[in-house]
Amino acid sequence: MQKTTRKMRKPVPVRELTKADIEKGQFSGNLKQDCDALRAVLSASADLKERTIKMSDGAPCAVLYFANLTNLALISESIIEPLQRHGGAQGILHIAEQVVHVPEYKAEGDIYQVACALSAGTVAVLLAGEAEALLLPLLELEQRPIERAIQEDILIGPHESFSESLGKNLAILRRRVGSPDLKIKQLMVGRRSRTTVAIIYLAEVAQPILVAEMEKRIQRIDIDFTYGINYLTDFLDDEPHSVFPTLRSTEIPVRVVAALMEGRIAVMAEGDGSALIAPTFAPEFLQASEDYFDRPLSATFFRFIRMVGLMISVFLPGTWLALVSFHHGILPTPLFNSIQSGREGVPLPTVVEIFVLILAFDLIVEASTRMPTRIGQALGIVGGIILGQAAVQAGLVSPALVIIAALTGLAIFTQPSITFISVLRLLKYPVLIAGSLLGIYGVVWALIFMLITVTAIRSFGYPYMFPVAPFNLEGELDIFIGVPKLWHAKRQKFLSPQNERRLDYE
Amino acid sequence: MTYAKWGLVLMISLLLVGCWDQQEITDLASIAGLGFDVGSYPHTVRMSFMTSPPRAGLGGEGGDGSRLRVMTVEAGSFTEALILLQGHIRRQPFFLHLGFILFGEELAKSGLNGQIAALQGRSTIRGSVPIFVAQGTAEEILTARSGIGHAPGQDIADLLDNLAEAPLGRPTTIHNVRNVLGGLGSEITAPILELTPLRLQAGDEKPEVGLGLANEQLREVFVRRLAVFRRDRWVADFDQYLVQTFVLLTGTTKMGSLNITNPADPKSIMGIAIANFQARFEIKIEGDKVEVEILPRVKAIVREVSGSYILRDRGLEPIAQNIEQEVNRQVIAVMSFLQEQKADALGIGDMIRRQQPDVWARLEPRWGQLFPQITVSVNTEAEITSTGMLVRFFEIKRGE
Amino acid sequence: MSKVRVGLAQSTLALFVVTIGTVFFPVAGVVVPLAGASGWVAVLLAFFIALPWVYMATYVAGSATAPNWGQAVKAWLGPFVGRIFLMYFAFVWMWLGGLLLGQAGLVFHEMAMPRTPPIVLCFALLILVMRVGWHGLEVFVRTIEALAMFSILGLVGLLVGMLPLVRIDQLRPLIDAPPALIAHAAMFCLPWAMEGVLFALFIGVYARKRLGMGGYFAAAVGAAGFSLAFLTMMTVGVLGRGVTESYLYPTAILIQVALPGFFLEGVEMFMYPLWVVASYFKVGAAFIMVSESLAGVWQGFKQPYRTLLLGGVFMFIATRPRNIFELVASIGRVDNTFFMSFYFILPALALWVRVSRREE
Repeated sequence: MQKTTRKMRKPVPVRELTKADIEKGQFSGNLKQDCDALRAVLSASADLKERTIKMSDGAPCAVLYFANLTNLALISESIIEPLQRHGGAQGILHIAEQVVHVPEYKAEGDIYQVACALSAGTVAVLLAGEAEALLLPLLELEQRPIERAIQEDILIGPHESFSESLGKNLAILRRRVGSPDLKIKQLMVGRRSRTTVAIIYLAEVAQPILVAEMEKRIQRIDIDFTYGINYLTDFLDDEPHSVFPTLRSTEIPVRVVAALMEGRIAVMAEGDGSALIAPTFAPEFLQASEDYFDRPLSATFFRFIRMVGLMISVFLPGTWLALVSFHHGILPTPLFNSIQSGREGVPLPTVVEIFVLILAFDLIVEASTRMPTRIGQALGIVGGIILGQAAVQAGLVSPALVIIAALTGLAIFTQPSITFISVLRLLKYPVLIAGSLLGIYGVVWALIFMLITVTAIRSFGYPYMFPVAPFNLEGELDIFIGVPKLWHAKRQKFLSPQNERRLDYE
Repeated sequence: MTYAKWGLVLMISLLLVGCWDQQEITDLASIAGLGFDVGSYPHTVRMSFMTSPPRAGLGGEGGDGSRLRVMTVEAGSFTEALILLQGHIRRQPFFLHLGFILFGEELAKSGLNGQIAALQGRSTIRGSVPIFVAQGTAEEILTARSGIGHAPGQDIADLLDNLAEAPLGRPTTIHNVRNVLGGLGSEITAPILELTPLRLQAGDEKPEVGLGLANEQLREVFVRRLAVFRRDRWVADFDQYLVQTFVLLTGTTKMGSLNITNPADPKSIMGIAIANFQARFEIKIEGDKVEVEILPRVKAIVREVSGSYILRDRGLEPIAQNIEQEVNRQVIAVMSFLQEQKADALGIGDMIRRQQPDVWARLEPRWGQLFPQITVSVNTEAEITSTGMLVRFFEIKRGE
Repeated sequence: MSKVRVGLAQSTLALFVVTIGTVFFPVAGVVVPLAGASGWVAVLLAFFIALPWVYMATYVAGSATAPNWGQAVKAWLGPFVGRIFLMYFAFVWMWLGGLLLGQAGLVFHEMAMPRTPPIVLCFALLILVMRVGWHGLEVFVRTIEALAMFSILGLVGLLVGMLPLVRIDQLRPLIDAPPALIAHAAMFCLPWAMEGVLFALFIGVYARKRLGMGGYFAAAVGAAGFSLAFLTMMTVGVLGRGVTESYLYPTAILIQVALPGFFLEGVEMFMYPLWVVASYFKVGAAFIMVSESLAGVWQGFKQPYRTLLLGGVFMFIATRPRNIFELVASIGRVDNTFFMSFYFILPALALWVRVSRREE
């Protein structure tokens, strides 16, 4: 792995999960006192429930839990009932091992830790005379079932997507990768949200240094709250200020598995239905997962279409502007005449016209994204057809430009990655500005400027434009051509030098 | 740092704001054709610009020809003419869509050097624009109204579209003239545009109202002749019977047609299509004596026969012989015409230069006198490749 | 700072495009007036002559173990002579690079944007060059790779699109000038080949060494020579001698007449980007070479100041020529004096490196 030459932000020392602002203390063994101490830490928690029990030998004990976070039936069945039938004389470990019917347990003496565990859906059992509480996890949450992917719709192949539960997501991955090589490292992020973040990789395939780097970057995060993994992108990214995403976000398990198999690593967080894949290279945003289920020839064609879509969505407005207001000699004569006739009487200069139209298109897109689906469709029709038609008939814009704006807007949505679509929607504006200043020279200028920017970026130390620059034949073929799977016998060498061969076929 | 970087980029882009070259497409007047004539004062040139002002409002059917306009400016130089024109039409004349350039007869005979230099000096005029010369004045040809619903100049545009079909070979361009002016290459030829009154027969459509005055003579443009230029001067022209043979000999086109007498019936003729014509020149030089043997190979198709020709009796050989005789006759005619005019338009001199540069160095200064004395012999080889689908028409029996 | 390394294939490609650089624009205009229709022979001859120098450069560069250009030169020649060599190298490339920057602006101004001041076009290109100079050689080579596909396709498309327009009769005889004239014309092409050789020397230091590097680099320079010769031939074939020799940059005219009225009125659309990209390649290469050489001369010359100062100097040089004739004359002067001098310096350097290696 190439060492990253980019300057990293200075590492912030990982802050100990804080007790500073909360009363410090251990359990004393006095049940009443301990319960009060715990209540003090969790003061003003209306949903905290406490149940005191007399055990069969008369020893008092208390069961504490958050009502809507735990399974009440299980508490009464597996904890309260056995406790009532047994004595407490043999200590808390005896209770854990012999009495309660819960798969996991932990003894904890720290009041603050117990409070944290309670918030995470654990039941705490306090026994008189014991300076430790017994923690029995019985989390139960109403959760979204596994559903069809919404953001990235898949035509062929498995449709399932991640849900908000990290455990369930990891289980999905486990089910798809049977090998014990699938490793999952868990880390805690968020001073207050205390979100679990998991690094997922294949032990024999991924490079250990990559995993270590990811771990280092996650540990460096000191934030009090995170929405989910996408919220952490800024901290994990090599270039947080760049418009280009160096981590790919996906909500489809198959895609994560495919990435793991190439020697990449994935990061997921509790409460977020998407995974980040690192390292990610820019040309990969053109690949859709259907390409690998489709016939090679049609996959090639679709990739070509996406490539054309990419070029059109970024460069068409700028190039068109350069053509019609700088280099008129290039247009075929009949087209020249027809554009000239179409523009006759239009009051706005071409630059303003094209800006207004493209901005209007982006407005429509943004509006229909925020709208409920049905209204959104109607809005699209209203915006697209009526606005365009009316503008032309009112003589405000020339007819050719409406086509250009619509084509540009449409072409963007050929891209399979939602992250990349937002980048493309942005990128056409600088090209347009450059084109409006210096014609085709400006467009090429913008192209080279972007290329310098993109090629200078690294994703976890790997060049971001990987199969294109530095050139790699196999990688490049996979970008432009739907390569038959038999040709994919090897992993990328620098992603997985220790385990290159992935296919043997006689 | 990043903000500083973006600030720098922003500053730079603000510095770059200027849009110097930006020009709305509606500020341009696309010139479709250009004509040059001798001016009415000494040292002036009369320039005619054919332009199509776009129509306002909706629709993209501009350039349909019905709005072509011809404006004439008389000025000392091309640059001056452009300024005058711009003042008149209030739009920037735009030449990258120029379709053709036309030179009047008088100007072409007095030399085109100045005009070619002016055209070549402008980077907005493509060197590949074809050049024609006008019988009479260029302005007359440009403004001629012809056909039904046609505008001035439209004839030439139509002609250009179909130039490949006309037996004129490859059109001459500004670059060709420039190459000849540089002393390289041979003489060039340019198609001559002529006007002929349009004869409307009874039952023809009446011309649309508004296309011209009621009593205006409608004329149409046609091309049957080629002007031969020596350097930049029009020195001679081919009549229409020689044009095809000349163009075939230059090799720019390979197809044509031929009429021969019917070997079986000398009063009737046969129509022959030439499918492939290739001429080889063999040049022998002894001292100052130059002998040229032209060896055309013709692949012919018998298309039509008037009169009777019984194929199974006579075979194809007599037809081939007649074709050979006819081609020989025509080639000799072309060559003797060229020698008469002292114009080496076929580029015999060039061939010598390429084959024997040292000999050419000796002959070159006297080539003007040597060329008319060249001995020319022609030996055609004709092959009939097809007689068409109908074989029976060879046996037409007259009911006598 | 980690060691910058460029793959062998990458550097060969970079060498090819930098050698062609902007030369494909004026090449026919330079050789055809001197050698006539056989100008292409002169181009080929010049690049053929330069091949031994490519091998010399690769030999010298291949012996470098230092992490960068400045240290490599000082390792070959010792700190004092090495610094002098670096300063001379930087001076030569700075001058040429600045003039090429000026050319990029002036030619585009003449060709397509007569109302835009050339200084603006120069400045726009300078921003790109400074940006890539800031990031260094590795990013520069990678941008070449990303652009090469598009630019080489453009060049090939241009040549193929031109084929139907070639008039064979304008090309015959293929060799019509006496050897002395051809040799004279080849003299004017030699500096272009030397520009390639010097870039080979520079990038060879950074290339991952492999056996046969000399072969790769010679192939790159040779291929560049072939392309230029072919382009010269095409230009004469399409435009004819008289037109070709009457322009400074005949390729611009060539492309103006290509494919008239086919589906576009002209293909300048493809040529204008090619011009910008080619200028970027050449000026960017010059900028990086100067920047690295100066860093070798003075270690303390750190990055932001180096790029900013060099940018200023390039801009200053670029704005000196007032018109295209002065510019062509200046480029000719730099080429014919300074670049030709390397035909003597390089063998000496190779000899010196060989001798000092023996001693070790």
